[in-house]
Amino acid sequence: MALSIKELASLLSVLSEEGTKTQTFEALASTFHGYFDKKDFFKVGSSIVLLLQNPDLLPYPTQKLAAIFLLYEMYRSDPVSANPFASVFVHLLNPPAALATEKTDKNQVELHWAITPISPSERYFLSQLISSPTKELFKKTCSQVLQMEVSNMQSYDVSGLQLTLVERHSEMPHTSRSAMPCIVPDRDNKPTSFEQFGRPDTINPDIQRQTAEALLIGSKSPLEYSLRPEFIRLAPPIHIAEDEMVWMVPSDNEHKITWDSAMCANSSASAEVRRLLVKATKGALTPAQCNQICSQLKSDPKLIYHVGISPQKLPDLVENNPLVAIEALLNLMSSNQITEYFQVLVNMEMSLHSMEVVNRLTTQVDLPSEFIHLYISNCISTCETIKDRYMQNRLVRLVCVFLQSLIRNKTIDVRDIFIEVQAFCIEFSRIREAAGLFRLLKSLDSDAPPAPGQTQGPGATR
Amino acid sequence: MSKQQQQTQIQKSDSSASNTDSASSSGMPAVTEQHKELATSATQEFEKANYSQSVSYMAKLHRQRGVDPKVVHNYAVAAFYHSNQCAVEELKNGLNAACQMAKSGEDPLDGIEDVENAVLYFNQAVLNFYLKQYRAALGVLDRGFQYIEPPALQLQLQDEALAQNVLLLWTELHLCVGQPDKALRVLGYLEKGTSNGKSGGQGSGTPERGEQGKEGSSGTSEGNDAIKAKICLFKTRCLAMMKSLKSCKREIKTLVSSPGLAGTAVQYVRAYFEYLRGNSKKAQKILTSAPTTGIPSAGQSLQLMFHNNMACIHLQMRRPHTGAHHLQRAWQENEKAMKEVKATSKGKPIQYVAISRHYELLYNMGIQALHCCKPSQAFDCLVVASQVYQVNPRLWLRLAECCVMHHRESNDDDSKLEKRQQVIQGSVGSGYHRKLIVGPGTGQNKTSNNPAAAVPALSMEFASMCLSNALNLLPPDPLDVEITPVEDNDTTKAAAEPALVPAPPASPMRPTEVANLRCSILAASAYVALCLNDFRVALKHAQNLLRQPRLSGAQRYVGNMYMAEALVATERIADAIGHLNPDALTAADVSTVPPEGKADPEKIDKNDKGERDASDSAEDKGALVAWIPRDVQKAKAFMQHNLAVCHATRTEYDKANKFLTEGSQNNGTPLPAQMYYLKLYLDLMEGRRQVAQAVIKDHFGHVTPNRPQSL
Repeated sequence: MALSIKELASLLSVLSEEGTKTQTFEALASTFHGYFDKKDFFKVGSSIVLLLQNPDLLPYPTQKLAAIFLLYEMYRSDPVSANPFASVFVHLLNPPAALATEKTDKNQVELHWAITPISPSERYFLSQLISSPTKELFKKTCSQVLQMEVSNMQSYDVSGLQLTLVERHSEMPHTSRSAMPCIVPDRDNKPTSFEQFGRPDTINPDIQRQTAEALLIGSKSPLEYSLRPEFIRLAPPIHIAEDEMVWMVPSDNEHKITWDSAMCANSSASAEVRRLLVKATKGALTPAQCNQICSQLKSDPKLIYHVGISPQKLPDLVENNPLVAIEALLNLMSSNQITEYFQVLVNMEMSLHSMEVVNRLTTQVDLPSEFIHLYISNCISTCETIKDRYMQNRLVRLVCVFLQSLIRNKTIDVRDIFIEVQAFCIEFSRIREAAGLFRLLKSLDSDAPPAPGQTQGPGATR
Repeated sequence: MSKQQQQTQIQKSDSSASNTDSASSSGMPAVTEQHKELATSATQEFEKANYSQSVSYMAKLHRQRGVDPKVVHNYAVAAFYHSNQCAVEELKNGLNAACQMAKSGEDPLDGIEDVENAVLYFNQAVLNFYLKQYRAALGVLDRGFQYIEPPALQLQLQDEALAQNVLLLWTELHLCVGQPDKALRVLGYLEKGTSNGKSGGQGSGTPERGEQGKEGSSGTSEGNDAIKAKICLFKTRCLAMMKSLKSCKREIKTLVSSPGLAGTAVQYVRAYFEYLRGNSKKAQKILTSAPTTGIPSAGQSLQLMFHNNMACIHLQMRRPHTGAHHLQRAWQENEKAMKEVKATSKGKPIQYVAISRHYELLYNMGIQALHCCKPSQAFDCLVVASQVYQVNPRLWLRLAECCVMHHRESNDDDSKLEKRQQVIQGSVGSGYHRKLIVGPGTGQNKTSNNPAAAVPALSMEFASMCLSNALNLLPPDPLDVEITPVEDNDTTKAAAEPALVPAPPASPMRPTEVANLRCSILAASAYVALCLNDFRVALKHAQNLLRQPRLSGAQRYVGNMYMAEALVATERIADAIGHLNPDALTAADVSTVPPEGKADPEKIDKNDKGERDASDSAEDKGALVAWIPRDVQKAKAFMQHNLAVCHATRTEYDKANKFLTEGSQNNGTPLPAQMYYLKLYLDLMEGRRQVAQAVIKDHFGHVTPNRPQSL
């Protein structure tokens, strides 16, 4: 953004007192274009604005007028509203209200960011320049313009243009509009040299040039900065965490690399059983294979724990090889996980095989009575909900036979499930077996009902 | 036949070549009596710890049965023990070769090969465990036993000791990667298994049992006690890690009374428990009284752990500098431990290969240094740690905090002399041409054009990247999850079961901790975005922050301030003013402590209140690094200033003046630089040049010779 020494020298020579006094605008323009290219225009324009804001640096009226003209000249080919320095024209044509009263109350208001107001003739010139410039206009010199008597000349109407410019300005964000230049004049009234005694406002050309150089040259030129209201931005508090650091605990677990003792061992009986059992969950085994598993399980009651029959695998085993399943369950009776196996058995889909397994189990071991009741309820509700009529009839028959067998074997106490089973029989009375079961129930009911607490047989207490 | 055997000598699992003479279906040569004899001899020698003998038998056997994965496996194991457990690389190769053979040779019958190769998988996991490749080890176990549900593991494996060892390793691995919930599940199976074994499997002498090797000899009741104690210890560690302090306390009670445990580990776990409860002093006492001799297990330095843990306690007791000292000691112990290993052995036995706790210590040191307000030191440590613990969102936040702290040490920085001196940069020219250059601002907007944000440096750009990492590592915000329509049961299930978020190398974070972390990340993100002039991003983060349910008072306060700044920058000044309400500020708005949630019932343990040290009461829970503003008055001052800025930007200079005056009164001297700027700005803007001169003369008298003309 800042100028080089050479550029500043060129600019100042264009704007020199002598040059601006005598040269026509045309001549000024051509000298200017001799020094600067289009790419420089913005930074040169910014520098010109800075000079305009500091009247001590452009003290003569001709200089000031020439500077204003150059702001126009640089972007002459574009419409005025597109001139990046158009807001300077607006500012000059409408000086801030505070400045209007400047003369009367000098101490009160001093706007360092404003450009000293222009005279009526300058005003006339500027209006003409930005609205309808003529060729003759450029043939004039600054001095001629300043000496014009404009009080009785018709002024140019630039209000429309001004409105456009003001509008464009207001489209800029507040944050950029709020900035002000950071150069504040602080005139030292004490003399700095003998010649200056009694003449504090005298311009010293050397110091003037030095000051302009200090302001406009170099990467840290004040030209590049501006002052604007600034937020206090607080850094957020540091995150508070608990147990964030690593706490170390000694570990006394020695994990040892281990020898595989099954090397070159014969495929042991258990491996064979395991292999067969995996097969058994996938399809029916041959009777010989079944026998092999069963005999192995019988001979080694601990084997069942090591062959990988988990509760999850039980349903497949029941469906495919009920006999093996029964043997496995009998072996698992002492396990502390047996309830999980029962759970699975109760909840699995009802079928001939599952019923067979439960039936066989009831004859061989003591099953918890809640389990049997749960199973019966499950069977009954399956019968009631099934859609396929044929399948339903089949299942109902199965359940009836199963129940009859349970009742005959006195595995269950009829009274516990009497109402449920009775309703079941009535619902399916069209089926012969159901009617048979119903009759059986009735006959038991009409028999002398045993007193409460005095159960029918050993099965009922289970 | 002989030609065939020669081919198989080459250790290659070319199963098609050996298929012709294989008797079994698995493509393996049949086991001859000679093979069997060799195998038995090798096993016997191995059990007698005559490893060189065992190796020579195995070499013979290997020449004849080079395609048998178990032979390859045991050959590698024997050679490994023969090398004093130093030949880690060879063991790895041997196990990998065996693993490949096992994979290709077996029928893919589910579950079967898993059982057959259990030892192989176990050994691979052990190997990875010692190399600290915990996830790899878990991967081996998960893949190896994918068909066997862990509860069935003990049903599947005849070798109960092996099953137990697998489960113990599995538990420890889960603990190592910060998954205490999963570890607890495995422990559950283990517990079931041990009680099962006691009731049903006592003294059952199957013929295979005799050959199980020396690992299988712990079937006695003593061994059972030891296992139970181990389970108990693991359980305590899991519960502590999950911060289930009540259950943890119960477990500790049984732990202390149970026999057969190394005391040190128990004491360290107890100390951890007290530390978690905030009883720093008690934790310290337990730790210092714990036996310091007798290294619990090879390759661990107790001194290192002691100093490390003391550092944790000291940080909790708000003495980070003492903590840092302990960490220095821990670091030295670590170096020492590593040197000692090199001195004592030819190679490195497997237990010593990866004993260095380098990264964990660096992580701890970084956290500690940050709390000592040494951001660049902390940064150096944490950057290295972040290469290993990339999934820890909190670590990324800490890195960003280092950058922020480096950039702005404290919120009082603005009123420091050097900052104030920059308000007037100086003067230019002299005499009639003399000018003052009013400084452009505090320069908090770092418009550095540094595109390499990924390069670790104490820059805002890097902080921004860290924070986006942190945010991405968090689970989805529950606020956002609820907004989306609940599609099916899955989402509700996920919401119902709050998962722990890993924060390696430290314990995982519970949902409330994650919620607090999210607030901190969002606040930091908004701040960093503002510094990078990324106002829309800042606005987004600030908005998100303000809707969080668990933000602290201070976070709400800064959230509103960030909102206001971002809104002004995006031309919504009226909205910005709505966020700044200095008169409504209360003491709660400067509290940095996250709200004590109801979701924390474990922490509120009425019975324990009395036990707590008086010094550890809740008031001290605030951040170690003091945050400014500390009181409401100061907070008000800052907010009034920012409100004045909003008005000034909108050219409402009277209001701006009013709020600035209030703000500067509330703040007291020294004023932050921004207030001077704003004061000068307002005076100069309205042309009160002489008032401005008075301010300049009063506060920056050295820059001007002129007295203000009397007004």
